[in-house]
Amino acid sequence: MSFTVSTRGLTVRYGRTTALEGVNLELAAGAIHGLLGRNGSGKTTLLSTIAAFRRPAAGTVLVDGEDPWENERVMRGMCLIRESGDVQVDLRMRDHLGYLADVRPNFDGDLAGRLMDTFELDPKRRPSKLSRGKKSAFGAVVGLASRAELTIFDEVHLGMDAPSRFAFYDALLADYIEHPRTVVLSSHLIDEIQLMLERVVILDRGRLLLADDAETLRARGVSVTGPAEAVDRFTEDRTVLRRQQLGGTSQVTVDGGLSAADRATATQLGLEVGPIDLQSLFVHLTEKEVVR
Amino acid sequence: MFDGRDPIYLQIADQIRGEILAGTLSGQEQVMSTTQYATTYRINPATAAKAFTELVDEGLLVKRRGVGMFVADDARDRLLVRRRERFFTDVVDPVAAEARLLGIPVEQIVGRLRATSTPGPDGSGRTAEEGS
Amino acid sequence: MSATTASPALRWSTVTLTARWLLRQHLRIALWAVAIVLLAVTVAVGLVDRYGSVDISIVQFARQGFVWFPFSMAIMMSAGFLNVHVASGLTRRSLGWASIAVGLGMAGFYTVVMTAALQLERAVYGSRGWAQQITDNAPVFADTSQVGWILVDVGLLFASAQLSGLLVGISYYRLGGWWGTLVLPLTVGPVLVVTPLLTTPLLDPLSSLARVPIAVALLGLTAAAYLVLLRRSPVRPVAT
Repeated sequence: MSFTVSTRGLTVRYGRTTALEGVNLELAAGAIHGLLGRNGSGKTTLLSTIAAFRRPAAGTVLVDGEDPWENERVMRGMCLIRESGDVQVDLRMRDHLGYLADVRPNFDGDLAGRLMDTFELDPKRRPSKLSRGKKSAFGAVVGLASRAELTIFDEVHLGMDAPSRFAFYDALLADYIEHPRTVVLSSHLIDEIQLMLERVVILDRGRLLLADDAETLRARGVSVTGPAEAVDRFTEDRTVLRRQQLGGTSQVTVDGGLSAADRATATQLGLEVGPIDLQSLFVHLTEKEVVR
Repeated sequence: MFDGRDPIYLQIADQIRGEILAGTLSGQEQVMSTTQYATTYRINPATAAKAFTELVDEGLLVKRRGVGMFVADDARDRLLVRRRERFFTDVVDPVAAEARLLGIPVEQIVGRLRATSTPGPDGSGRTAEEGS
Repeated sequence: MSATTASPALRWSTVTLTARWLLRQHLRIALWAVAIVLLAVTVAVGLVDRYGSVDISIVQFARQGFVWFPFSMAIMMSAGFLNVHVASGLTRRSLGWASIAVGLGMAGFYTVVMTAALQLERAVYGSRGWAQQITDNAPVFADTSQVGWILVDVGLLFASAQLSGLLVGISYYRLGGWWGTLVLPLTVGPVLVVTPLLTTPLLDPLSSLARVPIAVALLGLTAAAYLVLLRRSPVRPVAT
């Protein structure tokens, strides 16, 4: 069972600052969505609003077709893990898990136990006494074991070392496959998560920059390298994200993908065409300076 | 593991095709399930599933309900036929174009091909022994 | 589709679950607190007897302890628990009602403890021939045999402490340090006012008994203010 998410004209303000402006977004049920954006782009605000942690100033948000705010049915199907999770820090972790077993209808205690082992967390200890990485790991345990129909991880990886992060990804994938749900991953470590994503949403300065299939985005950015003049001719009427020149050779990052015919043309012109990974594409799309 | 050149599902499909062709995966052998593929390579299961769907559509893989994905009996043969069809357009023509570009005469190419081919049992110059 | 959710319902209502949980946390600490207070009282009586003569109630001084300690517990439980509660998929509404129920329940607990302690003290003092004077300012009961009045006086006071604690907690949470402190007269007011209310000459034609509904109304107002502030409260960002 998975929830859909739909926002229309979503606007959220903190006092006089507008964190989100007119965001129209659809998150398909049962898919793993990546939410990317620079610091301050509004990712956390968006996720908080979806999870009914705060109300929008304008616009609507619908989760499983209903307004989530103070909606008991919808709220118990949503789980937002922010960094180290909002857990009872002065309580033993096993007591907090016991609490969740009561209030989260799909909570799986066995899974929680296995994950505590995986992340080397001692259930008798209290989160307040743990390092940042271990706190985050506990947040991951809570998020996974709660089996909520909409599960959101907002930079849960912070402080976690690489082995722990990959253990998290593995656990997430394995449980997602067995118990499909809608998952949203917000992370700066795009390289690490990008193959797990089915859909990608990018926020920039409070607005929606794009929402697309991960596969499409992986093919969207292309680098074209060769003699400067030939490169310029080839990329004349294309969107250029970045241009670098060294002597007579220039390398250009182009947005919009190349068809097979285009590639053939490029080869004939003596140009080299290469892929642009999702992380680089993201950096280019959200850079402050605009090339053209 | 996967580079950004082609869509991931295509790369997976190509990899499996390669294994079938090379004989690493033989007919009737079970392939990793999409789940196993996804968890082993840490990719989205939908991507793995897409690759498998394409291979099933091509008749290279068969799905046996409740058991798993298997290589079709005639998978290798099918691939050979396809590759043979495309051999001249995909492989030979580019060689010819490059040779033209470099000014290499055809006779030299033919000579080289003859030299690298091993003589078959009947004395004919078959390259790299294959059954048919 | 959406309405055909297979999500199982919880076995108990969310208010019940939350109340049970909060009660457990409160009681665990309350039992410790009560034990310590009773120990302190016993020691104090022993000391006074040794070095002087016992002629006033010692238990009466526990009154303030049972006001301000639960008060601060209520602050922690309301403001501190909101994040956890909502993040665990529960509504603010259920937290509000559960907190109030538990607050009143705990007030009842402390009331019973205090009343029983006073009676116990009366028995002990009586057997030793000590006078059990009540010297604490403006209590409604003159001596400890007026169990009914003790229950009312102490009950209202302890209830106001609990509810006020919830209100102070949510005020600080929503309004921040500055404004939270500025409105303290309003938010802590009920605790300071509820007992004098019963004896003040300002309401003179009214008997103490007739003032009880007014005190209860004040408590109701406190609870309502808490619920109103809680209802629309955002969950604050994590402090990094």
